[in-house]
Amino acid sequence: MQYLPEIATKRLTVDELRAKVGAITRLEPLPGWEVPEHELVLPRGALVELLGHGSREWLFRMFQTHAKTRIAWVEPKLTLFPPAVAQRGISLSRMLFVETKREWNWALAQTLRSKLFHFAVTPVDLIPAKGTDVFLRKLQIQAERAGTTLFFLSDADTPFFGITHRIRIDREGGRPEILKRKRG
Amino acid sequence: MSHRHSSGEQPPPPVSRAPLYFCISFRSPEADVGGVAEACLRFSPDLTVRRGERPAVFLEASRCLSLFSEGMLEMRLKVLLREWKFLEMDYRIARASSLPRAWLCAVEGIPEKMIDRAPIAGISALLDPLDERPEDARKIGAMIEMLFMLGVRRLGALRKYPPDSAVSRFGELYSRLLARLNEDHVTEDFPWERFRPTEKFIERIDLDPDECFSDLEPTLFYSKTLLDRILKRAFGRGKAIIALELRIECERRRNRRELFIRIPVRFTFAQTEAAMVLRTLREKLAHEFGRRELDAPIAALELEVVELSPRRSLQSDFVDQDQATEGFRELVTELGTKLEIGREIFQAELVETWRPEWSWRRVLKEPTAIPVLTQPIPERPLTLLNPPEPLRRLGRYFFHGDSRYAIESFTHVERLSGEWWENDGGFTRTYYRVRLRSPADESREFWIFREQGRGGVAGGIFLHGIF
Repeated sequence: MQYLPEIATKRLTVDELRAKVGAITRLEPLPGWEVPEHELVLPRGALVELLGHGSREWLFRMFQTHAKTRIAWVEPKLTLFPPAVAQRGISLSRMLFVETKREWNWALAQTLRSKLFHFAVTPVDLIPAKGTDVFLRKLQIQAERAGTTLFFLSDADTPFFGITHRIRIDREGGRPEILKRKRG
Repeated sequence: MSHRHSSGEQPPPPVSRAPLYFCISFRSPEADVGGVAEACLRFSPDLTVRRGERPAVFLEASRCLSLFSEGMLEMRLKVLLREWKFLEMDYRIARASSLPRAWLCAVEGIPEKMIDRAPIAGISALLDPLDERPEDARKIGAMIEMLFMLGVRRLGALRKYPPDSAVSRFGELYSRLLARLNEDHVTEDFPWERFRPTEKFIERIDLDPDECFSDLEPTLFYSKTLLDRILKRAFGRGKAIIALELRIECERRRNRRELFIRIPVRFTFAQTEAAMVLRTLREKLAHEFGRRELDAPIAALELEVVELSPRRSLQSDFVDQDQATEGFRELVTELGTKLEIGREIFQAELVETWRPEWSWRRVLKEPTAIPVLTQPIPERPLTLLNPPEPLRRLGRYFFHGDSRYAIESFTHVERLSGEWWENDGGFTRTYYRVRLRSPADESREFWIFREQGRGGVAGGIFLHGIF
């Protein structure tokens, strides 16, 4: 109670208040993921389709660069070889694997909703043919809320409108070619 | 008579007793080992339990021999077991100078001096008495099989084999086996965790007869009240819930209640949040209510925590701003409602083995418990085909199905072989990193191996991975 009179007598002028408001840092969105070798920045919360033979190697080079990130790997049948991941300098403790076909979309949504992962990776083949746009929009909302960049691994170019970025890496160590960039 | 030491005389050193282990092994997997172990604490605090298919209680009794003789202690154990309604045929009591030897004696029903006559299969009892090393089971099985093929039928026959060659053949497991087999030099090389009795948290609601119900939602509503109380008690003690059981009692006849549903719930990670526990409980209850109808109104609900664990994140959440640890447990619990934990949801842990497809295993641990790699790994492809797919070679081409690939270059030749003790007789492979040009004129590197045929396994060239 002894502090109350002090608070009551402390009146700020409008200029002082403006100065205080100005001093508060503006809430800027978190910066995207930089890919140093190629001067490329991938936004957080984007849906990115990766094409080409060099896509996996490129992806893991990026995971290695951002060493403190967490990765969810969702596949109907696991094709990734975890010792190869460790060999590329990525700690396996950063990765959670979900191997399911029957509950793929549910598991993917739960993974994004958890807001735990900076990256999620999944094949593009399981995106439903019906209601694709609605499905992808839902994923994008979840990804944006969580700040998770969702990568779709693809063999061939897909016609999905909801995917915000499309990148092709044709060979190991190759330069990524941006085929689509929806925002900016 | 009192004995007094002179001022210059040193007091006698404390008498170190030779260890003496009692093992009570039960035939039934459902035996209440926890209860028996708790009662055995009156004899000695040094005891541990084995759970699983063959439960057992191990009691290190050397320190209580000044109170009881060995025979007297055994008799007292039998009296105690009678209280649990165990007949003499339901259990065996064995005593030996070490825990593994006591377990072997209990399993085989022999006194310690006859260990040499135990069958060779007793190796697994000596090497993994508490059933805590599943990773060794395959190696132990292969060792037993190999020794059997060499004509060894009894444990005593192992003494005839020169230890050096056997150790070089079977590795560290064999030297551990010899150490445990040797009665003259019994070494306490077997670490075991001291048994601690489980604390019981039980909350109960007896319902007013006028408010009786038999639906899911009110059951959940009252369960939530019980759950909140249990979690608050656990939180206060710095504990989290691993397993709990909800019991529903119905009033079938006037003034007579019967246990109708018993719902056990086990979590992979310790739970502290009511919302997460309730979600799992709802799924289980909905399944039970969907399976059968209650033929009488619910009279009482009882919630018991069966297993608790220390609440590790009690303080760490203050600094863990993104609550990642807690969030990870919640996610796994959530995914576990539809997917199989450990098989469909997992982390990867490296295993020290030469065969590439066996060089990792599925685990589910706290992320910090996954060991960080310290040894370098040779170059491996990011995509592995399991099982490897056969290729045909003709001149400068590989044929995979109907597709033809032109060979551009071979590099990184690596020869891997070993694991001859496995059932398939091991493997000998020569791996190549091969750059191939596909029919669509795309060049790509593949991981291909050549394996010689042996036994019933066909050899040939196989595609194992894609870089």
